[in-house]
Parts: sequence; C-alpha cells; structure tokens
Amino acid sequence: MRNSKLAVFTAVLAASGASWAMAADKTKINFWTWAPPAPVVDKAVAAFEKANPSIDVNVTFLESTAYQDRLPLALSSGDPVDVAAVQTSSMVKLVKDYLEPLPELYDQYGTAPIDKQLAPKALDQAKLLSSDGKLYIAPMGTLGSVVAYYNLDLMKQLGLTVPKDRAELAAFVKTIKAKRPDLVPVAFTGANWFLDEISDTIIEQGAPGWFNKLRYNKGGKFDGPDFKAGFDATVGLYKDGIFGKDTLDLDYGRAVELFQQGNVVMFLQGTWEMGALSAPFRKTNGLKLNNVTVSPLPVMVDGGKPAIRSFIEVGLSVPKNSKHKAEAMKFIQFMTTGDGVGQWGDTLFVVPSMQGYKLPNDIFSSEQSAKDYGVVADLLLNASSDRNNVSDFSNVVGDAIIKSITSGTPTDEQAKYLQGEWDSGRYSNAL
Amino acid sequence: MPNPKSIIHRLRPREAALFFGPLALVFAVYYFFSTGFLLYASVQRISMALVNGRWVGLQNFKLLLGDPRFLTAFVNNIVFACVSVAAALTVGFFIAVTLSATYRAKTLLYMVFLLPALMPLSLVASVFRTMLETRFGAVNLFLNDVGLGWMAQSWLIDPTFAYGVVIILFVYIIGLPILYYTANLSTINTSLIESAVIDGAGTWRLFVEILFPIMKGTHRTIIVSTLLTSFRAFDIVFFSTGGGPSGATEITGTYVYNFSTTGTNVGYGSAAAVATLLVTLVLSGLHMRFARKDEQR
Amino acid sequence: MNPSHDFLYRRRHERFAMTAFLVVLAALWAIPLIAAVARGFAFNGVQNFIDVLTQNIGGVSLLRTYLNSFVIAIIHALVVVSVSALAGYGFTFFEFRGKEALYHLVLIFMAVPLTSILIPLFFITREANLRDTLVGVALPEAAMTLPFGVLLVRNYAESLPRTLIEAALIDGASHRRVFLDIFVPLSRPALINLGALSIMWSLQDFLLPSLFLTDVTQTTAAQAVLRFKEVLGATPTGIGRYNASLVLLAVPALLVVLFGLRFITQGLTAGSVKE
Repeated sequence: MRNSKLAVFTAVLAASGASWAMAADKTKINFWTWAPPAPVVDKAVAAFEKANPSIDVNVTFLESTAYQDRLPLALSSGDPVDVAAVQTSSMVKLVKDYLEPLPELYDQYGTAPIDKQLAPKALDQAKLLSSDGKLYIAPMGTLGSVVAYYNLDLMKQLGLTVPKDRAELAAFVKTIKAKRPDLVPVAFTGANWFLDEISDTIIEQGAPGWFNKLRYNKGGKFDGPDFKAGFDATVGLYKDGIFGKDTLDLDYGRAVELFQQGNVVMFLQGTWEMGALSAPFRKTNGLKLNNVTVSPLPVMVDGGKPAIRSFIEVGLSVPKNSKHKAEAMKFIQFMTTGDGVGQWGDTLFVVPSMQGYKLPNDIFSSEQSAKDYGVVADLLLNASSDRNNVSDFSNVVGDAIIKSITSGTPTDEQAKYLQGEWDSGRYSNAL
Repeated sequence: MPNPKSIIHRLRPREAALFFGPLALVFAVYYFFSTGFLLYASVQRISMALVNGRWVGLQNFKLLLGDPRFLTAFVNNIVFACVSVAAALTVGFFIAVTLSATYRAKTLLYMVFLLPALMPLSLVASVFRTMLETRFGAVNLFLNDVGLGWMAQSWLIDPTFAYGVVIILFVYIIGLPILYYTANLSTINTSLIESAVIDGAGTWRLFVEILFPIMKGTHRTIIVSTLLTSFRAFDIVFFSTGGGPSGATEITGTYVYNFSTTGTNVGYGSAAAVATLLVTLVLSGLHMRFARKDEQR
Repeated sequence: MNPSHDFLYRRRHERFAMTAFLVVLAALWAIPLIAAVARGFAFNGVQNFIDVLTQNIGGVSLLRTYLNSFVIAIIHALVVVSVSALAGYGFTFFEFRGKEALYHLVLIFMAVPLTSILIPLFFITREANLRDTLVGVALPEAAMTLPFGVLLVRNYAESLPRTLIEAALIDGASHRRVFLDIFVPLSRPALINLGALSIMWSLQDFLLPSLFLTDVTQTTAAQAVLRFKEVLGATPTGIGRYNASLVLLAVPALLVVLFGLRFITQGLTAGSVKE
C-alpha cells in the first residue's frame, strides 16, 4: 500500500514538475508543408527561430502527392497544426472549413492588414480558391508556365540569340541541327500534362484570357477557334520538325538532366525551375550549368504576344484549432513579407507576393539573366489567365495532343472529343 | 489414401470462430466492405475526401461503357493475357525442357530466366524504359554504333512499337511458368519417354506428342496463374509506357489507377473498379466451374 | 541433373542446336540485366555502388529500404500463414453445410486486382489509423494472398494421412490441441512454402507501400525505384548512382531466389498438382 502511494506521489510530482518546466520553455508550433524543398524550409525556419528565441518550429515535411492526402486528414482528425501550407488547388476548398479567415487574424496579431502586405492579384487568386470569397491563405508567391530556358554558352558558340517567334525558333533549331547534330535543340518532358501546358500557353498568346473563360465557366470552349488555333500550332511544331518527336519519351527528370549536362540548348518548363538562374541556388544544389537565362515562350501564332498562365503557390494558413495563433501569425508574416522571404527568395521558385519586393542583385551572374528574369517576373504578375489546372483533365488534353502528333488525328476531331470529355462528368471539373 | 470422409467432424461455434474467424475477419474488411464501398461510391460524383457527394445513379457506368479508352484498356488486358499464356506454353515450355536436358551452366541459365519474374516488376519495367529512350537509350545507341541506325525507332512513342514493348515485357517475365514446368519435369515418369525413344520417336514427336500432353495439369495451372497475373499486372505497364502513348497500351489497372488518386472524380473511378472487379470475379468463377468439371470427368 | 532426359536430344547435332538456341535466348534475357549492371558502373565505377550503400538518398538509406521491405514481407507472411493454416485445417477436417460453396467463395477472390480496391483501401487504412505504418501495408497485402494460401494449405492437408489426427481426436483432444501439436508440425513444408511465396510477393509490391507510406524513412525497396529517380539524376554522378541503386534494389529478390527457390518451387507445385 505504502509503495503505491509513494508511486502516485512521485508521479504527481513528476507531472507537475514537467508542466512547470514546459511553462518556462518555449512555445512550440507545428508547421506542415511540402514546398519549397526541405533544406530551404529548414534554413528559413532556423532563421526564424534565431530571430524569435521563444518560439520553436517543428516542421512536418512531406512530398507533394503525399501531402495532398495527409494534410486534410491531419486537419480533419484534429492533429495539432499551427501553420499549414495549402496547395493552391482544390485543396483549399477541401480544408477551408478547418482554417481561420486571415484578414481578421492579421488585424488581431499582424503588424499590418494583409492587403497592405501582399500583392492584390495574389490575394484575389487566393480568395478565388475558397469559392466563398473569403481569404484563408497567405500566398508565398506566384509561379507559372511555360517558359524557355537557354544554355547561353552553347548559344554563344553557335552564334544564336534568344528566338522571339516561330520563324526565329525555326531558324534557331535549323542552325543547331546543322552545326551540332549531337545536341538536342529543344527538350522538355513529353508527359501529357506538360504538352497541355504548352498548348495552353500558345492559346494565351493568341487569345489572352481563354483559359480563364474555360475554367470559370464563362463561355470558353474547346470546340472553338481559339483552342483549335493553339492545338494546331502545337502539333504543327512537331510536324515541321521544330520540336523533335524523339523527345516525347523524355520524362521530367531526364529533360532536366539533359539540360544540366549541356546536351540541350533550349529547355521548356515552368517558372519554378528558375533557380537555375540564381547563383546561390546553383551553389547549394551543385548545379554546374551556370550561364542560363529564361524567356517567355516564343510566339507561335500570328499576331500573338508573349504569354504565361500564372497562379499563386504555397498558401500559408492557420487552422482554427491552433493554440498558438499569435506565434503562427508571426511565422507567416516572416515567411511571406518578413526576413524569411530573403531565406527562400533566392531559389526563385516563385516570385514573392510581398508588395514591393526587390531581389538582391548578387543572385544573377549576368546582366542579361537579371533583365530577362525581370521580364518573366513582370509577365507572371500580370498574366492573362490563371494557371488553375484541372489536373486530371490536363492529362486528357495532353494525350489528345500526343495522339495527333503520333497518329495524325485531325484537330477538329480532337476538339470535339475534348469538349465532350469536359462536359461528360468523368473528371474533377464536374465535382 | 483412406476414405477422406472416414470421420465426420461437426463444426461447433467455438471451432468455427477459431478456424474461420480470422479468415472471415480479413475477408469482411478487405473484400466485402471494399466491394460495398465501391458500389456506394460508384453511384455518386464524389472526390477522394469522400464528402459532398452527389447522387448520379448509373451515370458513371454509362460513361464508363461509353469511353473508348476503357474499352481499349479492356481489350488490351485480354490481348496481353493471351500473349502471356501463349508465350508461357510455347517459349516457356521449350526453355524448361531444354534446360532439363542441359548439363553445363544449368543453374546459371535457370537464374537468368527466372530472375526478372521474381524481381520487383517496377524495376524491370523501369530498366526497359530507360533502355528504350529514342535519343539516348541504350538500345538505339547500340544500334547506331553497330551501323544499324536505320533500325532505331521511337520505341515508346510510336503506338505500335510501344505495344510491342509491353508484349515483350510480358514475355520477359515468364520465369514463373518455367519454374512450374521445371518442377514438374523432374517428377515425370521416365519410362514413358524411354519407351517412346526405343520406338524410334524423334525429338519433335517427343515434345509434341508425349511431353506436352503429359503436363496437362501444369498447363492448366500456368494458364490460370498467367491470366491472373496479367490482369493484376499494373507495375509492368505503369513503369514502362504508363499506358501511353495516349492510352494505346492502357490496361484496366492503369485506367482505374488514374481515377483513384487525389484530385479526381473518385465516383467514376469506383465505377471502373467495380466493372473490373466484376469481370475478374466472373472469369475466376468460370475457371472454377471448368476445373471442377475436369476433375469430375 | 536428370540423366533420363538425355534421350530428349539423342542426336548430337540436335543437342547442339537446341542448346545453342537456348543460350541465345538466355543471352537475350540477360541483356537488360547486364545493361542495368553496366550502367551502374557508369562514370564513377564502383564508387557509385559504395555511395549508394553508404549515403542517404532522398532522406533514406538503401539498406533501410531493404529493412522496410523485409519487415513488411515478414508481417505479411506471418498473417497469411497463420490465417491460411487455420482455415485450411477447418476446410479439411470439418464438414458443414455450404462448406464447398464457402471455399469457392474464398477462392474466387484470388483474381481481384489490387488497383480495383485501392479506393476502399485508402478509406479502411485511414479509418483504422494504419496509415504510415508498415502493418497498414502488410495487412492488405496479406488479404490479397490469402485465397491462394487457403488453397495451398487445404490441398496439402487433404493429402496428409489422417490416422494421427483421427487418433488424437478419438482420444479426446480438442481441435485446438490437434491443430497446434499435430497439424502444424505435419504441414510444415507447405507452411514454409507459403511463407516463402508470401515474402517473395511482398518484396515485389510497389503500389501499396507507395500509396500508404509517406514517411521517407519507410520507403521500401520496390518503391525506392521511383523515389530515387526523382531525387538523383540531374548530374552524371546522379545517373550512375541511380543505376547502381537499381541493381542493388534487385538484390533482395536475388537473395530470396538463391536461398528460397526450393521452398517456392515446392509451394507452387504443391498447389498445382491437386487442382
């Protein structure tokens, strides 16, 4: 009997001692995210903890697809999450019921109202995602696609300049094939979703705002002249040998690999690969290719203008049942408009949403890449359409493009087919 | 063998629970509940989060049967299955028999054929995929090096070649049928062969008229297991062509998979899963009906 | 080596021709294997293999993926063997109405493709709080193997001499005792075969681990193929390492084949002979 009483007493003492110790300890907040890459997140978090010694940040980092399942589950199960990064897709609608509306939080704990801190367009896109017009996420930045990256050293060797339109691109490719047949003139992943991205970008060049009309049900159609023009242009690039059919079996990683190894002159991807232009980023990741620049996709339709579709990425939010909302707010401000931006800004994976942000000068290794970056960043922040993809449907569009390229299926047939699929209810646009 | 029903044991509740309980539990959870769940989801339009579903009746099924890609996937399943079976019964049989008559390096040769079938198929298919890249894949590079550059093709981009690649992959993994045959070959009553040889039978006749028929039981097992494997063969297609280009090599597995992950219309995916499930269950049932008939004969 | 099969290729030139053909086939089969190994040595030679074995790739070491794969495989095998043994005994030594119907119901599910039940599996694994656990992967795998396991055990059990079991039961032993003390030891060959097969199949499984395990440190060998591809590969060193990792990832399967082939063969044939 005595022993058990002693045991209980000791346990109580220990417990109260523990809780007292915890009270004197720091505040611990849980941060869930999938992006930017883990080392960058760790760097930013370390900087935050240094600037805020009373706050400890516990990071749960998951890879993107896993994150799509895990975060909604964690929130719906009531797991302790204080700052949740939300993917700027249907995920926002999915989890918004668990999140605290931000304007009020900013007014309560922030240093300034949210609309004074972040770019208006970014905030508009954020509100769009929740479909109730309320703001639940603070976007870190904006990214978009498709842009072209160039190996400037190879271009100098071959006496080439950045092509601005289809004709220049055709000459560009011809020169490379003649002088250096061992190089791949233009490389990118032949995955179906990326071909859809290329086609959408080309459509925007000729008919700005088309994608928004389609996506937000404002009358955009597949079975219409704007889409068909872009589709034709994309397939035509392969027909005329400007894009090589032999690159269709490259996947994302292989295309990056080939570009980095210097086998490719022009590489197409989204703006999230812009880290290749940043000297600090290259150093951290051991990228050897150091004379790279970026430019909007050459204009492929007559009378078109350079275009990009862009959208916010990585929206930071505060779950309703967080017990440390003040600290969470501190962290969010740090990451979106505070010193944290400098921590991840040099990865260039997004253009920060912070109002009035200026990139430090030492990031770029040449005047040209700094200038070119400015052009792309500008285009991103003023894009004609949102890169708000219906991802399962982009696979279908991409497959239709591939089919036309490999088997010659006529554009009209594909356009009708795609319109039928879009309206069918098989895909998540119907949800 | 003594009469198997010599003593009949009645099944009392306690024993039923002990011996069949675990099985029943696993089945109830993973098979019966799953089927019910699929049926429930397939009549809705719903996302992976499984909230806010909208009832749509049989619309998903109508859409499914009206999708040429699903029908293609289904046909592909059957084609790949038939090819696998045919290859197993011919090439596999030949390899097993010849192996059994070889002296030197038998184990090594055996390993070579068997290994691909026992490795993770994701691995095998990935290796093939990298080797078959048009521009930088080992196959085309090799062909170029030996002056056969004209033979280099877009193996993964051209729908016909991609189809061929998948078929080759299915043949590549007939290690298991070879295993079966080898195991059974060692149990054959050799007197049959000896008498045939004494009678003057040539090799071809030995193969076709004696060895092949003797292994009827094994043939049947192989047909069943190969058919089953090919219907379950997701990794092979997914990692080599991904069902591409543009659905040319799609199988029901990759089709269902595409609609079974986040951000998709899971109601529709469930309908596809139900359809596939139904077909496999029917096939399985048919096979069992025939097997029973065979035994009773 | 079976001497009687000498008769198969009596004539010398026939033997030569057949063997040559076999060697050609074997060479064709071996090409991808050789190519994979050769690419593993690309650029940096043996260093690739050393790097892959000693460093973490994408947050997990190759050896850890082996461990994860084996843990899942063993849990899978244990569940399958125990549940199949119990059910196999039940089907063999009891009589009850609807027994054969139930048996066929069990077997009919052998054909179920994993992709078809992915969606409900997500739900079940989540609700049972088994997401991100190795058990959560092993259980569905076991469910997929069970029908075959029951078939295997029942076939073997039907071929056992019943005298021992009958005697024990007449003497008043409970079925539980008989099962544990007589049946299991008697069925050891079949149970070991089943275990070996289960392990082999589990090592091959890619889908379930990749969908239910999100913690990087829980990556399995089959999954690592994809994971390593994403993480490595932007540089020549990366390519060499990726290919070296592919070769090494095949090693668990190689080991199982080398040491477990006997069990696997017996298991498969035991299942087929009685069908």
